[in-house]
Amino acid sequence: MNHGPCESTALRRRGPRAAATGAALVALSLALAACGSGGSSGSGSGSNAGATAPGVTANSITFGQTAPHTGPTGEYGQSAYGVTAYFDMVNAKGGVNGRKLKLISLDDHYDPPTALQDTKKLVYQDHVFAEVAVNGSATTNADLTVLVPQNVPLVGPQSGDQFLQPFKKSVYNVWPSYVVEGKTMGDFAINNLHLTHVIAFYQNDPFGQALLQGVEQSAAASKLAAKISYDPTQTDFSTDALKAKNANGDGVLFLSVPGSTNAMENSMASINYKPKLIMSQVSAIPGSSFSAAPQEFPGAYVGAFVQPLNPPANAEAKQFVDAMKKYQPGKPISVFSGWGWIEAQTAVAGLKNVHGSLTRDSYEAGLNSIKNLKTMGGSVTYGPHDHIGLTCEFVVQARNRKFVPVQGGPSCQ
Amino acid sequence: MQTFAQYLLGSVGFGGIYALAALGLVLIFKTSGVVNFAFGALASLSTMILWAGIHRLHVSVGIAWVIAVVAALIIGGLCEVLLLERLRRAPITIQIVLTLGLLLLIEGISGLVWGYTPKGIPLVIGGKSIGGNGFFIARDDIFIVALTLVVALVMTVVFQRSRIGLGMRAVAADRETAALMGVPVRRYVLASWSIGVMITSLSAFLVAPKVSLSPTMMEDIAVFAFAAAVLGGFGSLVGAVVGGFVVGIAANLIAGYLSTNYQLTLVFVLIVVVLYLRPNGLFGRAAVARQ
Amino acid sequence: MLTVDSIDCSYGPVQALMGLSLEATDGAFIAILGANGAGKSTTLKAIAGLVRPTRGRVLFRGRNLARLGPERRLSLGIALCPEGRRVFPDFTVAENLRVGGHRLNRRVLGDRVDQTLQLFPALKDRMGQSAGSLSGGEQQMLAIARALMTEPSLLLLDEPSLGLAPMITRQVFDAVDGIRKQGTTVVLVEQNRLALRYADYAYVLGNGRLRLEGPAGEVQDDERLRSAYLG
Repeated sequence: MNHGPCESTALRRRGPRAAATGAALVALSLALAACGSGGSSGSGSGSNAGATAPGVTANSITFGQTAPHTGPTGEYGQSAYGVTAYFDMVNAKGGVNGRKLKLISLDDHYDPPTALQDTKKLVYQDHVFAEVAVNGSATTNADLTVLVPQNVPLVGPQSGDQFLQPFKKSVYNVWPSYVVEGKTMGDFAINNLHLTHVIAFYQNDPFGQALLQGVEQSAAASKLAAKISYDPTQTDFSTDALKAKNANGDGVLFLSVPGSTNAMENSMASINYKPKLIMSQVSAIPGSSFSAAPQEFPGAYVGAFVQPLNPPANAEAKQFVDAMKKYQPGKPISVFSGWGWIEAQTAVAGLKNVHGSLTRDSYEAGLNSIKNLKTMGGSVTYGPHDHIGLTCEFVVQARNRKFVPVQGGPSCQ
Repeated sequence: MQTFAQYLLGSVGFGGIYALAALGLVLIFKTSGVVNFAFGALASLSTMILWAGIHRLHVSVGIAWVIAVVAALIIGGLCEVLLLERLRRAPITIQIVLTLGLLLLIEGISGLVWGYTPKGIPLVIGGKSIGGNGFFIARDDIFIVALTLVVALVMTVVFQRSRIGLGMRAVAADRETAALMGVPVRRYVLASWSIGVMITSLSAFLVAPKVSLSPTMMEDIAVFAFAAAVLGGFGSLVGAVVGGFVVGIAANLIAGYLSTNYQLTLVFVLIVVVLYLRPNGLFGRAAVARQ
Repeated sequence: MLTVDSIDCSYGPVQALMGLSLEATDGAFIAILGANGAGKSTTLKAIAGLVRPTRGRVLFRGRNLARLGPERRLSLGIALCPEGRRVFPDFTVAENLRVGGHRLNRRVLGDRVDQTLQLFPALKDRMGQSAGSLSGGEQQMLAIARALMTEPSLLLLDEPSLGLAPMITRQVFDAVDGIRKQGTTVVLVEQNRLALRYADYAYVLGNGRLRLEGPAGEVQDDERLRSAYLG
């Protein structure tokens, strides 16, 4: 028993101790958030002896990537597995001109300042040769403030956003833009489903607005019964569902993120409102890899540029699935790892086009000469002033927890 | 008029969810004097256990609910035992930092354990909605309202009529005097944390099928629930329930007649106006001590 | 029954009690008098277990209480009616009494309320009223009644006359006298010298030290009582 001074036992102050506990808790949670960062594969660049460019040695080429590996969007970081699988496949055949490919992937928590920090580390400290499969719109935008002035090539910014479309010498888009996706969804709604009252349900930010812009350029433009915007933090979609129903919508275009898509669909079900569902590929991902359609949306049509993987819809998709099983066993074979695969394939194609010494300038020339590169998302062609990448989207349907091709729908074959 | 009625019907589900979440928050505040900013994260954690019960243990939804409710009671109790008894006398800023730290910690841990991909949780009842002629209400929304009212009623009866309720109210009113009269203060504060976290968890179980489960699922719900508690006077159980439905209905009418983009802003404008007119909330009592 | 054996107490650097000893036999009515800050309330808190002496012992029925917290002391029969009444103003009178009887089981609770009300008949008609609506004297009666609900054998009262008119103070002391007559030992802390008319034995404190003690009648006439108040 404490026989200290005659202090009040009931009124003993606990301020300092509680402060310490609180501070420790905060520190612990910050540490937890940070512990997911670090390279997911590969190691530092090592010596640059005999190199023709940063990140290039006689027997290796180092690429960098920023992507969320933890946090609410952590699944996007699976693209690192796809990149690594493609690199491993190339390395198994002796690499590119005898050089093995390495990837340093840093966790940016989907947070632009963190992404910028990571990019500085990759460029100034790890001396990566180029970057590949950099995830997110706002994060990529932040990364570009370092990559563009330093002339570090970026292959495959994972965004369909508008800011990537103005031509940049060192940035090579792979993804179709969101405008292309919106247009594909809108055309499909009219030409294939013959809808007459189309509802555009969109997130009120550049992502949702770009998809909406595509819809407004499509055949659906004259059949739009309502445009319903929502706030990214919104959870209650009861009124939005009612508005869509009251506008007699026979189909809803989901230009939204997964959580909001699910919540809206639930609200629609609760008022017995069952229109056709057409979703952007970003909308439809909840709770499943792309190889299995989410059970929440049976019958939904989904815009896509990665071919269905289960079973693989074409030879390129099959090659990806087989390589994942071989080189990244146990890692998810998902649309996310698929993104990374396609982007790595593009990056390597550019390397193979380089004859002579490998510099960033010769690499860009190599990328610029890519013509009709067949990927599982369609073909990629670049030119000295054309870095658009994939330009085609198609539509798949969720059936029996699988995505299956739609007969007579838009095709990228 | 018909549209108005539809908006009202559509808002009761979320009204009930805000009310339940606020009830848990207020119960803990009443007896322990701590504003538990981690309440949403704790509830999401319990819902992760509900999900694990359904998808990992493969038990029925009903049994998973029982497991998750018990888990929520334990989680609430552990918070009190491990952390919050220590900060009872601490300055308010320390309390805020500690419960916010707890919020980050729990979201981080459940993210590491269960991942951040939104997860599906089955509806409690499901099936076709009831109604016709353009008026529909989901069976689950009816269940939510019923459960909210039952929980509120049971809590009110326990607080007003039972020996334990009297003891808890005594702890809330004057902890030291209650202790002098032989009320087991520690045990009651522990019980209120347990039950408070459990009640907020019920709201999370109900909202998860609507918005998909993730560790951060309750963040936006918690904002509205907090608003509901403030509106109700932050201390009144009836106030928390009424506040929850008022916030739910107001948010829907704003979204319906104006735009969802103004929802959060205007709900808080409404609260500022109410607090301006009635500084102690709709059901709060003026804190005037008679000498 | 109660022995306080040369205890020291301090709040940080401020020493509140120095070598205080006092004694209460079974059924006694003891008064502790002194000016503000003399250490009276600290003495009661040390007996009830709310503060811990740095030196000395508190014995109750021959048992050293040092290791026992307030809850255990309450169950041994030591109840403290705190300074400033501290009734629950939003509760009814009946609820205030039931809080006092919190540890009693349901069957004996009603009987205990009836017994207590015999000593405070004025409260009987106010049972449904909120405690905050009572007059100061009634609130004090209620605070004492509530403490009595814990079934104490030793009742510690901290300045019940505070803020009360002389006539009301007399009524309160009469009620306390009634409690003592039922066999409960009473230790009453007061500034009001009227307490000496009711007590058997009195201790006078000044600056944390015992200044004077003796049968209440003798203390009342002692010159040193005045000087203790003046410091």
